[in-house]
Amino acid sequence: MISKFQIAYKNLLRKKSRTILTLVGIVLSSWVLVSLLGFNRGYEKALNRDIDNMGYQIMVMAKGCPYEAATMMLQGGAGLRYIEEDVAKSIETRPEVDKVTPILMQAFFDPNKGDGGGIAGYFGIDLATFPAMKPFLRFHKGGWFKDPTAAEAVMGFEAAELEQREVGDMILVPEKNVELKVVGILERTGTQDDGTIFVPLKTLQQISNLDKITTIGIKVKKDANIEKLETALYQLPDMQVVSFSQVKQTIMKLIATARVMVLSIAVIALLIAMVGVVNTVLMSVLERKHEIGILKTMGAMPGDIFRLVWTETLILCTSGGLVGIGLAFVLRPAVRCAGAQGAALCARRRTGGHRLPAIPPDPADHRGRGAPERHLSGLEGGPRAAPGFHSERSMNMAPGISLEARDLTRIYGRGSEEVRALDGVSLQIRKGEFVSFMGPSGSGKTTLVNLLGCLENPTSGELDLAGRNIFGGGKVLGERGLTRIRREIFGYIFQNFYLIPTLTVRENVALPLAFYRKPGIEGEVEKLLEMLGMEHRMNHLPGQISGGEMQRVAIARALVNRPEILLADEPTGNLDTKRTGEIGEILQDLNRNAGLTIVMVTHNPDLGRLSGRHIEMRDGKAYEN
Amino acid sequence: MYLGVSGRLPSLNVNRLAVPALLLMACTAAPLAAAVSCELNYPASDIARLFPESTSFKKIYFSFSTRGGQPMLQKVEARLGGLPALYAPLDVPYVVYEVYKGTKKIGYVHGVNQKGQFGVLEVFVSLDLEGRIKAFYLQRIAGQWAKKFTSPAFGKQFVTLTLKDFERYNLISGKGTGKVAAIANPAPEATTDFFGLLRAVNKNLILMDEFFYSVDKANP
Repeated sequence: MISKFQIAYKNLLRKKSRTILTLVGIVLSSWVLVSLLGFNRGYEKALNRDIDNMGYQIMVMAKGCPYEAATMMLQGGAGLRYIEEDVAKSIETRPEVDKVTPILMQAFFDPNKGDGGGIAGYFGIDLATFPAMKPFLRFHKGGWFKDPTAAEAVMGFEAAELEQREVGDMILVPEKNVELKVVGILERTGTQDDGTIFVPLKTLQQISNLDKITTIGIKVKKDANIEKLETALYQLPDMQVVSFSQVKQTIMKLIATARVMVLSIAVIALLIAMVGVVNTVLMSVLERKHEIGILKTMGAMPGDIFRLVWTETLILCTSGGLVGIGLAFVLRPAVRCAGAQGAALCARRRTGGHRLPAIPPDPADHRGRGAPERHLSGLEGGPRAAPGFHSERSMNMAPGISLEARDLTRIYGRGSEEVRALDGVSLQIRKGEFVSFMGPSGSGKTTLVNLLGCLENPTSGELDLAGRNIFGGGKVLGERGLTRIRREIFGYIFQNFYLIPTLTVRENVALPLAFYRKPGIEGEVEKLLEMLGMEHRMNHLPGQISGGEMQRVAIARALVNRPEILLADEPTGNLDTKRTGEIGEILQDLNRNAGLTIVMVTHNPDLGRLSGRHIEMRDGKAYEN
Repeated sequence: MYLGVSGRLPSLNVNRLAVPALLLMACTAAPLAAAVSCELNYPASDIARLFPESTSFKKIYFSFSTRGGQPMLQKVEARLGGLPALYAPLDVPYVVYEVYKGTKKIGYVHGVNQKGQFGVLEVFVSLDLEGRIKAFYLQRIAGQWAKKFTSPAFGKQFVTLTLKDFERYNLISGKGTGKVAAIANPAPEATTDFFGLLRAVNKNLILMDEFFYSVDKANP
């Protein structure tokens, strides 16, 4: 059996190009959307990580450093001042401070570096506090110093590369001519640490004949007020505070601006995708108005149609979105083309007429062709006006009566003009009758069949179906009420077949069961197709079978829910004489052998003659010979 | 922190400036370039000194990844005695200065990095178009003996040497004959740097041979 999902999915295949273009739009939009959101999240994380990788958010150093000190020196001013190590300890006691680390930066002039000499700088660090403050540092080779006074050095990767140093090699501190053993080389970090030579603080102090430091690195507690701490640190005499929190704040402002831009672009991408989807779905619905009408005749409720449309939308959005997300993850643009599933058209083979296997009729109800029980009065000598057909007015139909219409009238408004399409028609159709309505175009036969088949409400009049009063007493049924009656009682076939081109013969026949299934309906699809001689075409598409075969499929579809009445509106209007004969025979057999009540509208007198009862329509009135 | 550049500060007290400059850089420095090439600190004046008759020069960058790839790297390493070069991935950039007199090319200046006792040795040679050394320049060396190796007397010993001269001398065992064997070590306490310098010049000439002289011969 076919599900609503399959119906929706196959509907999308009907306009492959449009579906693919819509999908491409969704893919690109979702790709842009996800990429932008990912970018937004990624660079924010990266910036935060880079800031965190600094290890400490605040540096305290002797006043005049770094900018003013350089100027002061160039102008021959006072030299750099150092910080007592005790200051670090006092800062550490502040409640906002998580950790502190003392640092001594020293530079030595190397006269042998180049032509004219150069400067070599060293970072004296405290082994107990510095590595803990920069846990992201990883060693390419080796490790930290063995003890706080060791004559050892750890080099950033760039520094080691530049100096061609390996673990175990020696370096020489210029000026002082102190040899240090390289005990570790760090992995690249992408920060200034890559170009740094780290030496134990005590060792560097010893080399420099100092017991002071130049800098204190401060890591602030996570939720601490950094600004408050900065203000307090500024009160320290002769101290300069360099805060990375300001840098971070500036960066965060940039991030916020960038985020607005990114989200704006993402929203635009989303809107474009939505417009594309809405356009596709709307076009799809507008193009299939007829088909949706046919689905309603099969028993589809408005909710079913709504769900079908939404399923199509969801298929488009979900598949496009997933592909777009996938694209965003693999970071490469790709065009997903739906594989062409153009079905190779088979040569149309015409099948011969199949005699219908006999279906045991219900002996109690069966009325064979040519034996209709007339309930018309005064019908002798030619056509009579429909009002003359009226026999009795009753809420309870006589036994054996399948359908009774009383004074059915349908008036359409055309501007200020009223068109009386049906003018007070009364008639009875008994169970098992095969009735044909004939007449010129505009005579009201299709309007009558539409009212009898509960496709619309009459302007006035009454209708009883299978013992139930449907229209009457000014009662107007809504779409849901009409659908309930239709799917219980009627099967419909039309001139244009209205098969869904992307569904196979079997799926087309099973289509009504996706919306409504009477109890006990099992294996009906196969039985009907076999009965109609279409079992060999079950897996063919409508485009691969002949017109006569298509109408057989339509008949099977109309019968799949075992209707009480089959309504056929010009069932052979699109068929040649031979196929018309075949369809006529089928209808006749269904009536004779299956006892099916058939109400048929036709222009074809030969087809009309197959029915046992002919009613002629003229100017909205019914006349029976 | 290693500053990565050397500078001339002749009229100022370098020590007094060093720490503020260091701190300034600690706060503002960007990471150093990933790949390390050997370039002249002051190419205009250095080339004028190394090639007095030159009027202009052109800087050419190349790497193994753009010229021969892994097979070429292996070939050069084999010619260097089978020892893999330290910190020398395929994409490490090399620099050659093509030297001109007017519009006529008159030679090259090329430098290489070589591991020394206390740090890198940056060794440059200027070469004529036949691959003969015209001048030797040690841009960088660390150690108390540095001046002995940067002295003109030491550098003069390399003038007129060609790659062929190095073929008669084993740079690993330190044995051999010819002009290279005759080069005197001015600092016997610094044999690592001495042999490092010899290996640097040999490496310099091999690279030039592979990338320029053999190409010039193939496309005269």
